[in-house]
Amino acid sequence: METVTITIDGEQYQVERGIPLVLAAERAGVRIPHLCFHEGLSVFAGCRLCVVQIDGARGLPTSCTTPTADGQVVWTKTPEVLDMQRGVMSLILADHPDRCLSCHRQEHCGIDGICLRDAVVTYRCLTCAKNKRCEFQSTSEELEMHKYPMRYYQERHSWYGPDHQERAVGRSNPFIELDFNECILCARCVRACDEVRGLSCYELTYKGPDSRIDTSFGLPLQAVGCDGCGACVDVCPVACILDKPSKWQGPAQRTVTTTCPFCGDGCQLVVELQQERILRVGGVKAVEGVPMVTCSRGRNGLGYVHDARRLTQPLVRRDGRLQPASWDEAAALVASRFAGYRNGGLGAAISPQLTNEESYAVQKFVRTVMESENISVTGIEGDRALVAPLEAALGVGAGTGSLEDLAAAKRIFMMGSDIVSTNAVAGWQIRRAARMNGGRLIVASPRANEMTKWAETWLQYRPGTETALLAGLLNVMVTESLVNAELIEANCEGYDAVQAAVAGFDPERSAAITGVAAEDIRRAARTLATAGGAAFVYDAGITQHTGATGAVAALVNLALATGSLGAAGAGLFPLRDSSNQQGAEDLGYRGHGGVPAGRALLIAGSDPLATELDRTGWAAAVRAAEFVVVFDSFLTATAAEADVVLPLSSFAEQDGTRTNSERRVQRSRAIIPPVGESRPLWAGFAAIASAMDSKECEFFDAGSIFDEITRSVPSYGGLSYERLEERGIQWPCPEGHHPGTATLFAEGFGSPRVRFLPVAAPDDLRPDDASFPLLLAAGLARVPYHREVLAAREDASTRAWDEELLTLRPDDALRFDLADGEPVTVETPTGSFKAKLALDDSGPSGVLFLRIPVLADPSVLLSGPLAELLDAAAGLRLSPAVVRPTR
Amino acid sequence: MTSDHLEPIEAILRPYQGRKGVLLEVFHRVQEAYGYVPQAAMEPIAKLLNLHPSTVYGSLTFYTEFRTAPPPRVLVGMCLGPTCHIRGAETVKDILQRRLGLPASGHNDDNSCGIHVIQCAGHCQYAPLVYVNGEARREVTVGGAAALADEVSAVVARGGR
Repeated sequence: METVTITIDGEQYQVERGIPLVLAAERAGVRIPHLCFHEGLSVFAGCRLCVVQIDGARGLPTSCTTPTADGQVVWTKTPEVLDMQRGVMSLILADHPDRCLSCHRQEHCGIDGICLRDAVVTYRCLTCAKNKRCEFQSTSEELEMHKYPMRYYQERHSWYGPDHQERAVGRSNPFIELDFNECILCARCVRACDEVRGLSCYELTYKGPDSRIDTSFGLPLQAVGCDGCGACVDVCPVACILDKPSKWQGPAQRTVTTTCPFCGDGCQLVVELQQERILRVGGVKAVEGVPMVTCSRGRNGLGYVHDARRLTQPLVRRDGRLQPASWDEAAALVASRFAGYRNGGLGAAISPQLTNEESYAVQKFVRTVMESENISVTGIEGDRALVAPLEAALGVGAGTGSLEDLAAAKRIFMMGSDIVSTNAVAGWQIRRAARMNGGRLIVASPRANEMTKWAETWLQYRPGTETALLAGLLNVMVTESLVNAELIEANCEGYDAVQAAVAGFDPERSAAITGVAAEDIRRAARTLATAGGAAFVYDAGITQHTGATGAVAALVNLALATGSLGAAGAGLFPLRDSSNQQGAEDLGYRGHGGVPAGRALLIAGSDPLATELDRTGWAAAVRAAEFVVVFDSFLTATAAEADVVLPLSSFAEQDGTRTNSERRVQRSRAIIPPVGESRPLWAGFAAIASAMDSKECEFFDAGSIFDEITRSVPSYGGLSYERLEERGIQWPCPEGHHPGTATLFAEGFGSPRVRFLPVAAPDDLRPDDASFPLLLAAGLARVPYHREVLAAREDASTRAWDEELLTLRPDDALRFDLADGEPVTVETPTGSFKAKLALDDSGPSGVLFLRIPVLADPSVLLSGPLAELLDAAAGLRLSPAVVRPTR
Repeated sequence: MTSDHLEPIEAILRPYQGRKGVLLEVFHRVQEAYGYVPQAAMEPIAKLLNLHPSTVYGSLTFYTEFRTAPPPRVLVGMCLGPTCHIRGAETVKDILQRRLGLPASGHNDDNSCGIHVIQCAGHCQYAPLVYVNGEARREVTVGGAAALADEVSAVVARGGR
């Protein structure tokens, strides 16, 4: 950072060169009033409020458009400046109710002060939802507007003028309420949606006095592609764009920054609290150029921690019923029973959403106290398979780059499910790259989704043919000599075998299997194999189908062949489904999911009977086990079957760390006091271990466990809570002063050599049986599939984007004489199930898509029509099928 | 005229595939074909130019020449540029609006007649300038406004012919 010396109001400051003066002043502790400027967004210079006087400059320039330069002498409080600022405020106020801002009684009014005469009831400050948290209000107070007469009252179109027209309030979105009557046209929402999210739901429409912020033709937000992320809410300085659920709940008493507990993107959330309850959640303000990020799930899904159904005390099964017990009693019981299952008798399964500290504690307990290795991680099937090939090929079981670098990536190959739904924030970075930064985006996906819209090439392949498509791409690179031969020669082994394996997959053959045009395959391969490499982004969408497990290995081969590793904005980017899947693996979890072996079972933080695809297998294992202990925050379907249920603190009640998809270890902080007697997992195991007279698990706090982790995991060696305080650090970080590693292999591969992975010849999955002409593919529900969100399932978030269960292309439906909304029976070689059919043309022809629902009540999932569907989905995933009307 | 007679939006947009900086040209072509730029055109135009529909709408509404709703059958275009303004165009507009019985929105409920403000056409020597269905009327002064209003009323009564 290059610094310059500037003088503001007679004081000298060292500031960064070339940044907006208003920002430099703010960082130096001098506030210049501003409304349209927002750090992290482009400069708009629309409000004209940040004017200053600069020696040698003509007039009063706006400080947002003036870059800092050496020797600048700036005056921010001269009478001319203040008069101009008050004039500008007066202009803005002419089109805004001003009694809430400039009432002369304001300073006499307390919290419950009497407000009788000065304003019409509807325009009093107390009647505004943004009162006491309004930037416009604080700016107005700062400029003491109540002491100065308004200058522009007489305008016909002004707020109190005869031609003023009220705009209708937009209340149709479940999360965001729009009331543009108070809009001051700062266009922060326009810029936030456009620049940070890469979307532009809002735009300035019309011009002059008619200007207004609007969506296309005034459509509701959800109709113009809004995913409810709330960036616009975070930046709106007035009461126009508000979080609907907390609109009237006033300002926060305190705020805490923590890591979102949902997906592997690991966003930082600013949680606002009131009376020790989560009031609302926002994104962090820009830190060092990193834009604010949260998605709808983090923003609206955290309320579950206050659910009245939270478990508040341990439950022990007596006389066949779960009954309340004390922690001592429950821990003693678990200890005495567990004593009989040492040395391999216990199987454990943990949730991939637990903190590193909790995961470490469970593992230590099971390995050292129980002497068992039967530990697995639950969650999205196939998530582990996302990085296992990377470990085999590169020696590092994690993504190689940084998510924020994706926004500047030059070439992106994206494969998998609808990433804007599953890993929204990573998806936005890619959207920004494709829309604004000239990144060339190639999306390989069976169905149309948000990202296929922005793709230069969309490779619409038939589900299950991933490896054939990737083999076709590599074939083009090999035959056209586009591979980075020098790099391969120097660093890689196994290339000859892979070259031989793809030799038979010329684009024509690949096209015949996948359904993608051969020319598109050629074009995509040529785009990707350009100097500088490409980013290969993928998620569990490609590892869930049978026959597609080689897809990740094939992607690794492509990344090596194109020489993509080592550069920022290129490399391999597996997007993890869960907030700490990566962390659990870093700590040594290698379980592939599935039911762990053991006569006794320990299940921590997950509800496999309701949310795992193999529910039936889990239900059998739980019933067969001699002793089942469940740690959970809720009495879930699994907990209801347990012998002992121990109340688990949620993410909001404990300190810890989580590791996201880009290897960034981040702090998760205690936000609220523990609910009832719930405890973090490590505290529960400390109690059980001590009841078993073991000294192995004497945990006192999360910090000391993290210190233990840093001693036993070399790549975490240089981390500490202190270092993670400001912002997370990406491992490897082997020692105390190491800055962390944003991009792996930036220094080259070193030794040992990395290797290409053998990929089995892909199958041709075209249905060959004339009686089952369709292909059935099962996929995940779009938005709300994390169990924490499920806890709040009556919440709007589970209803907002409800998708139909079974979809088929209209032209295929015509062949089978089926109509939209018709009840149908799907038959496969192994069985049949019933569902309601919806028609949409987003998928390839000949494919039936089944959405796997995880949002309903678990009791519905265990029996009833949805259970039948789930069983079908778990067994089938990809299967030949036929669909008939149910009559 | 039913929608069957209209040129499909895809056909209008096809020549612009892969071209940059053609948004306004596209608006003109769509308005020529439909008489206005309909909501249904937002998505296809946005997709063509890799924009968001809201961005397209923002540009569309910035220009007063583009309409977002079907035009009235008789369209009176009023120039309110500086010269016309000085020569009383505002008053002319008020008179026309009142005599034609048009509400503040400028449109009849049945869309038989409407009055729009247009951009300066550059014929300031003929100010105030008024267009009736695209045909220019020169020097429509305050004194002549009532006569023009009656003439327009007659056209409206004939259904716009």
